[in-house]
Amino acid sequence: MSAILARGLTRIYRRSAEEIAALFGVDLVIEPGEFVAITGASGAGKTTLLNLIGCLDRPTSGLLKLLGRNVHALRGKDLEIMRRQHVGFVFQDYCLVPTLTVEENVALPLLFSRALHQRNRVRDLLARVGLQDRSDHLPRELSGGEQQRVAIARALVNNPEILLADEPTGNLDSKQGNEIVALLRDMKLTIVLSTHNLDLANRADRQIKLADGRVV
Amino acid sequence: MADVTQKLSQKGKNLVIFQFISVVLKELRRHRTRSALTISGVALSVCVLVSLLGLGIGYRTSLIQSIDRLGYHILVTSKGCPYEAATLLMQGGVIPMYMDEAIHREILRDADVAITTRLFLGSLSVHREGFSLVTGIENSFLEMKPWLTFQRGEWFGEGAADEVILGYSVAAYYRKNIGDDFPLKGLGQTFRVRGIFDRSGTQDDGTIFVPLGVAQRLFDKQEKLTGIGVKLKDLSRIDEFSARVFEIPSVQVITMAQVQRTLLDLLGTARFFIGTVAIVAVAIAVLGVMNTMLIAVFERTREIGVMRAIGASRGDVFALICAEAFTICTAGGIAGGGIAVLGSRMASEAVRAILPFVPAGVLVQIDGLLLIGGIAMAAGMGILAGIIPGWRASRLHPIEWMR
Repeated sequence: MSAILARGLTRIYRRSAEEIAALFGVDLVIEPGEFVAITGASGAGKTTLLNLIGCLDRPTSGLLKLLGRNVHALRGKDLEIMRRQHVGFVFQDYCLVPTLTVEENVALPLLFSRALHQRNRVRDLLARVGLQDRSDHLPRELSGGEQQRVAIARALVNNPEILLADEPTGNLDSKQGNEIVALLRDMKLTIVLSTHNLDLANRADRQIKLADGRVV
Repeated sequence: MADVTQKLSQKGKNLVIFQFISVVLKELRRHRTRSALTISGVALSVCVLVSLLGLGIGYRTSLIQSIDRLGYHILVTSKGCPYEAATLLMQGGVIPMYMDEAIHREILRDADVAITTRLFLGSLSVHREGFSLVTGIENSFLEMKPWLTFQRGEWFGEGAADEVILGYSVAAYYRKNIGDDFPLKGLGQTFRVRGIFDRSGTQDDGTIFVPLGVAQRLFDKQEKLTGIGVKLKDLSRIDEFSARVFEIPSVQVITMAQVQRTLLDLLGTARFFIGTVAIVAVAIAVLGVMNTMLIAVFERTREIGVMRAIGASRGDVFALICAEAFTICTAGGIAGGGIAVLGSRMASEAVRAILPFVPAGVLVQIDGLLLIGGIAMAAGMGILAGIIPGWRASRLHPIEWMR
């Protein structure tokens, strides 16, 4: 069973009378444990593809299966469960809650999945991303690289099978970017990462290049 | 094994609630000024609500207590306005209509009568300030009011024409003691303090008492009375007795039940307006909190989107927003209730200063039940104020914040 399977995946945005095809007829198969980099210029459809895989958005047409389940058929709670338990998402600008400490930010998905009794996972993950000593700090007290590590720990805390990262190194210098990619590689998960940095993309198992919403 | 699972499950639930509260409190601390202002608004409305309801309860209780402590079953007065008569009873308003002593003698002959007491009420300026109620009384006055005891001194001496007995508040206000001179400026005559009554919680505390004959002479109304208090042998005979007295020309009979009903009817109208003001105060507070929460949701579209993206359900988002509104309102309710309790004495004094007639006793009565009710109402307001913002936040699709 593939981790991610897409057939003819299309996403069209409608603005007034205008239709914009952000993604058009994308076919792809990603196997469990693969580290795949989605590359392409700005506006190529990388973020749209990740949003669809992450169940943050719904395709206009086409088939998308995650871990063998047809995402199109999922509604309401099932979709929330898929987002919460099977997919972890790392955003380019970290998107941490500014009022919560590092530890609380990482524990937030556990709160939503009513699994706070597994809180020792938070400390394990913070140790794994090298932030065990910063658990009481607020996001504003951390560097960009450290905040991205927190975001990665948060994405992993519910033990997802798939980790999606949208330009995770976009706001970081090359040293911090390399550290983040090394960290992701070390996770031994199905990882789909979008980037326009070819150096980083070359460190993935496979690259899928998008241009104008199509795989090229 | 089942026990362990149950304990773990309970521990998990507790952790979730604790963490939920922590997230909510931190969010409120993020915008301290806004949170403080919103809480203050709720506190103000709860303070108004609790104080007004406390006033309604306190006023009613004091009124009933004052009527009960009049001591009479019936008051016979000359014919006139029933509201005026009620005021005469409660506050001692001066009615410029008098009845002859002969009516008293006629009433005394009635077989149903146990005790009567003749009253002559007038108002005079005392010292250099305002007007005070002067009441002419006779020995049977104390038989009617067994709770009225002397704090100091005693009853008038035989044939005394220059002695006064002071109500508790009058003595305290003028700092008078037994044997002190007490000038009645309006008459140009000085009296001597013979006795001071203990606090009774009725209008008697604010009255200057003189012997009945002295009062009649001072006001130049010999053989005239303003009222006759009557206690019956059997209260169930009150209708028959009233019917007989009604046959006496120029006289009206006021039963205490009538007085109570008349004054409570008036109070009922006032309570309707009080209730309306309280509801308006609560509605303004709810709208204020709702507005604050809607602004908060608008500002936090991105954060809410992220929460949805990392697994928050619609219910979680709804609960978080509602919990914030609930926390604001509950904090406001506790603060407002506290202020109302602490300020109840001041509110009582303010009411006394503003209203022309107030019964003796605690006017703003805020008991535990009212306080808890006020706080519970504030908490309910919070849930109400959080529904629309919470619903709007929960409808946000995770992708919307990215656009």
